[in-house]
Amino acid sequence: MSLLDFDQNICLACETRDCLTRCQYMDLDEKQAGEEIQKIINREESRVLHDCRTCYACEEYCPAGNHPFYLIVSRQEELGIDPLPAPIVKQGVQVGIPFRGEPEIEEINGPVLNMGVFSPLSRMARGRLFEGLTLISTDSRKMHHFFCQLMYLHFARISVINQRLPGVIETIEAYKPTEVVHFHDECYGTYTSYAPAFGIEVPFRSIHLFEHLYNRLSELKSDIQPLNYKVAYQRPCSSRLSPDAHGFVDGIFEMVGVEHVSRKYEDENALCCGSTIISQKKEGSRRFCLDQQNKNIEDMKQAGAQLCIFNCPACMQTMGKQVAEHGIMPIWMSDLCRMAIRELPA
Amino acid sequence: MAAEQIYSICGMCTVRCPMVAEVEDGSINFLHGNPNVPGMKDSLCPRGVAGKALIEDNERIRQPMIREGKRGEGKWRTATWEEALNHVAEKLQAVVDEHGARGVALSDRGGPFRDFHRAFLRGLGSPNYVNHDSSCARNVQHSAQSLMGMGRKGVVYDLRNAKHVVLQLRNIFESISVAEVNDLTDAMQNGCKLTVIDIRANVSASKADRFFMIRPGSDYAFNLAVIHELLANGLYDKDYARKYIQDIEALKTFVRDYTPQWAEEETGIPAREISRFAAQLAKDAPNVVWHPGWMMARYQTTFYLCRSIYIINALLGSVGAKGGLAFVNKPKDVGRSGLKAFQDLFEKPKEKRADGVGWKYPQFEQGPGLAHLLYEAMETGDPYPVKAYIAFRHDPLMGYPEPDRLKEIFDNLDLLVSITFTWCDTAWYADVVLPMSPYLERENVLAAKNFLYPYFFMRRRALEPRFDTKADWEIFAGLARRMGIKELDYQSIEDIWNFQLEGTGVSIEDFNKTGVVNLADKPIYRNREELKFGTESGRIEIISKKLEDQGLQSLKPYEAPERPPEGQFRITFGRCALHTQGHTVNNPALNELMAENVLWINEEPAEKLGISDGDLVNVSQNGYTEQITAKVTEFIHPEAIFVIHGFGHRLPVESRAYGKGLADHHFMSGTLKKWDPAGGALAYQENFVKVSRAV
Repeated sequence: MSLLDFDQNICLACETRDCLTRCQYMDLDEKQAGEEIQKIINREESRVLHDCRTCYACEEYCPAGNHPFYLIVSRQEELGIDPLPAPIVKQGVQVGIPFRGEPEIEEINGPVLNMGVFSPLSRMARGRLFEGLTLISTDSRKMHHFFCQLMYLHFARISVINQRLPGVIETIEAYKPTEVVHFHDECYGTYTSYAPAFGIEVPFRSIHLFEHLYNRLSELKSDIQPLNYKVAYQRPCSSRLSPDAHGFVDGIFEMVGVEHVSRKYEDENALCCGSTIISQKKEGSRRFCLDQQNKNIEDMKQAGAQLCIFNCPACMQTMGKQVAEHGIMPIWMSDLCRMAIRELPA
Repeated sequence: MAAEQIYSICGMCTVRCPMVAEVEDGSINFLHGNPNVPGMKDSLCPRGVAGKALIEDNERIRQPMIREGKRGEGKWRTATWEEALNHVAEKLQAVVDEHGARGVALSDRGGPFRDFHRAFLRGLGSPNYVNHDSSCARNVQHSAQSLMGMGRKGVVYDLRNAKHVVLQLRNIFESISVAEVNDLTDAMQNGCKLTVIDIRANVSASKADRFFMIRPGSDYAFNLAVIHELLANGLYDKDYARKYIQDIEALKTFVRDYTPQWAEEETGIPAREISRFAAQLAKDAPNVVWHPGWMMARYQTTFYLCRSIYIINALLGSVGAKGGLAFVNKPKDVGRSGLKAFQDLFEKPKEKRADGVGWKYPQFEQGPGLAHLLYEAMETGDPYPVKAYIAFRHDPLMGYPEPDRLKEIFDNLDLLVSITFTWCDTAWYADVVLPMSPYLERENVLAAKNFLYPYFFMRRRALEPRFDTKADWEIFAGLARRMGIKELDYQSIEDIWNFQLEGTGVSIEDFNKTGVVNLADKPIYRNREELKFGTESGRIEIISKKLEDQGLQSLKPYEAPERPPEGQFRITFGRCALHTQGHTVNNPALNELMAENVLWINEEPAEKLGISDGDLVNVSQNGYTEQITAKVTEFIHPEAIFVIHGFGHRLPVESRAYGKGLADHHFMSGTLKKWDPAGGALAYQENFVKVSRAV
């Protein structure tokens, strides 16, 4: 059984309560935060367990790396407080079950690019930026064998993740990769943050897509033509699990010659795309989602962004159209990099 | 200027969800559900939200149109309302003069706002009102009446308090009533189990605890086996049965041989699963809702499937129970008066109905008749000629099978009028198109909802019409004025509302606060010890005298459906959350989300045919072929293919929908004549097609 590496003494001794006082969706002062944390530790009802938008940010805010978000989600499941409606949870859990036979696995003995559950986006991993990487999980019929399962944090289903994740790790390891570049933030967060937090062994080395892109751009530096755009970046929730990789965003932007505009809702203050908020189906959640998106996009406009860079398919699907309607072009990070080396976007 | 909150009723489908339009400076800011109505919270479905796009759609009809070329040729001249209404009134009068008022027919798609236009037809003196229900829920209605002596809306599906909900050919999470979705969602949050029985894993199935993929057409076998299990194992509610179910011994005898083992052969569902399922239902009884279905115009025997569903509900004691099929309350049940009806201003026409309902077919309810039999009368002139037809918010050329044959039938008409807010196939074939304002641009007559507690509700006009369109009451009042039906010659909606509210103790102002007026302050459940059914015996009658008198069996032995010939598939269709049949396919917002349908085909036959996911395929029947993209999946039964209905538009005025997807109703050769003799509805799913990879 996988247990969360959580030390309640760290929380009780915490002087900042950053995990909750910095939350962008709950208004808690330090005293209230302390009381709620105590309740959560004690497995008692807490408004936090009901009001959490599952944006993952508290996992990054915690100065001690004590996994407050994983704790919240664990407690939600233990106490039966689902952040999403039951039918959506049921559907979501069932959707992740692999059903079309086993994947055909060959040993690679080299670096691989793990598309996870985004096989239909394999077309994006083309060109010189991805040379030398063998793609795995390119067959959409079998992609759930590679599904990192971390989406179920939004569903408060730690049990599902912990039950299925070892099998997914086994599947990837069967390729004998020397290192695994993860296309999606969520996969990277799974293997570098979640799995260690729950004592799940990960035998392969994980690399974030951004680190890979940065390194490839460094190798192709002489081919880079500065793009000279002003760009905003829509930070995905799972990036909160890997703040180390978030540092590559500005590195890439600098490399491809774009200006990362300065705005209110960026980095640690980034706003959720709204995908989970709207799925929560609470009263007012559709309007709240729209308000958040409007705030976010207005902030991009005010900052003069011409492009909005996405890396998460869910963010792109949720916000891409609205961004475009406001005159800001939505574009994938990998496509931005391709453009810089004079390749056409996928 | 602050946004104004205007209470309205959604018009994107027939459910009519109560909603609120937030309007600022003459445009829609936000649309959401009316939180004052139980189950609505503030939700709307995707189609409801797309009401704003409907308003902004420049491809809707902007002014009255009178045909100049041949029918369907698309040659029109625009007309003023004065001219158009005069034209229609004159043509109607000519038909009345030559053939009598019975020569005029009107159809709609049901719903709560029918009183005024039905009164118009009655004022004219015609009995020939029909709605779309013979292509939808007639079998459900008639089965409920045959067993319980009351219609399907005599009960409400109390999903919120259910412990187990069974959806059989009903897809709640895609064919959406917002309150039903919210109620079931909340119930599931509280542990309610969901079972789905269907030929494909639809969205509802993906959220279910149990999913039975059943062989197409064998649902009745499955249900008979469930009844067998309940009776043979003593799992039914014996007290309830003793009190309320008549002829249970006949039922026991009837199902004796319909064992789960037998049903396994027919349905493909393992016998032990059927047994376990029946046992689970018994544990959850009486808080079980086995939904009797909406669109049950499937096979020529589906009436008996519907009866079996009601019988199971009865055996579980859920008919009349909280958390089951609870009895609705009408205004008079709570000591209040209902809305005054315009129809009551006129005597019921004494003429026999052209569709034969009530005299040739006494087993059927007269109210909405059977449209396909009306069309037959238009074709044959038997029992008398029907020469004028008003299709009000109804598109039979999209909703009924064999559109080419229907067009030939309509060619017998002297006048075909379409009253519609979007272009549709029937409008395109009409002589006159009277453009109705979309629901956000019009008000309607008041309506009453019979529910756990009854209420009145009001649709207000949220916006002034963008184009030269009118509310339906304005159109019918205009026709009534011209045809001497003075009782309906209204100039203002307030006068209409005041008429309806006479004697109710309710005023127009009472709707201002929430858009509804509740006639009781809490849900009222009937005492399960004192239920009274509308049958002669006051009980649920397994053996129906009315059926037997017509030579129809009350307990019909199972007949296995015809299997598709080698190399062919049963063509089936259904709904998704993004579209309401054909009339939203050209909606700018919804079309962007889903512009065309795809063909679900099981991967085993697909592999044999060399069809891969995403391939373009030919679908053929009797030499007629259309093309569509294949969705190869194991989540559909191998004997069937499936498409979302409403696609394959061919009207040049619908640029977004034009030429996209497949029109399933083009593959139903002979279906206008295939109908359920006991239930009345057409048998849409008795058609087979060939599928091949397009070269």
